[in-house]
Amino acid sequence: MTRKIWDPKLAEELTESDRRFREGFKVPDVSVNVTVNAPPTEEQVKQAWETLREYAQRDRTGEK
Amino acid sequence: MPANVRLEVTLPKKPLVDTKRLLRGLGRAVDDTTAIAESNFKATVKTWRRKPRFVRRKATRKGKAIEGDVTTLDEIYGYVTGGTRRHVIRPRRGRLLAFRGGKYRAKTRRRVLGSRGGGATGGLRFAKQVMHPGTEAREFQQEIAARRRRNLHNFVVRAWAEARK
Repeated sequence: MTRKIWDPKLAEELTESDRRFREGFKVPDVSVNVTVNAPPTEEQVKQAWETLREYAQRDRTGEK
Repeated sequence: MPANVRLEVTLPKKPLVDTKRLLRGLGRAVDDTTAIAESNFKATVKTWRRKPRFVRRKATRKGKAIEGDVTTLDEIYGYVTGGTRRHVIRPRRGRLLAFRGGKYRAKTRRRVLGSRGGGATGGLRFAKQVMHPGTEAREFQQEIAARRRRNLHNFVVRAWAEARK
């Protein structure tokens, strides 16, 4: 037969030691993050393309 | 005699890269990388009795980046990969600690992405408290990140090659 022993002083002491244990050991953040740069949107590419064409055109006609 | 040279800008008729295809390819690069990272994490706990749960988030676009990750909130896994200092262990519920007093064989090793058989051996011993010598940090996530970084580079190069028109 088992007997349940409840000692408030011991319980308090154990809670305190448990608290100190958890404070002493910070669980590290475990994760692996994967990030790549996103490409420009189609609209951005289109705009850049138009600008280049404009410059090329000006270059051909000698316009400043 | 002076030479008359004229340079002229010639543009291709259309952009050289299919941006939609590139976006898909880079997303796949991130997803393939996190899938392998997840299996790397799982390999480190293969012989554990209580296995931590790893959560993998698939690639999503966030502003100028495409991101994905593999994470665990498991406390024990955190102590194993991050290591612990020397600490006292006292009983929480009962009055005595009970543990096996023979040799202990660790299941994992530092920076090794696998797990072998091991654990405690010997007969039961009891103590009021013990001084745990601490756990060497296994640095699993650092090792996985280092390996996957090289791999990711190849995936990104592949995505760009496939997106060329």
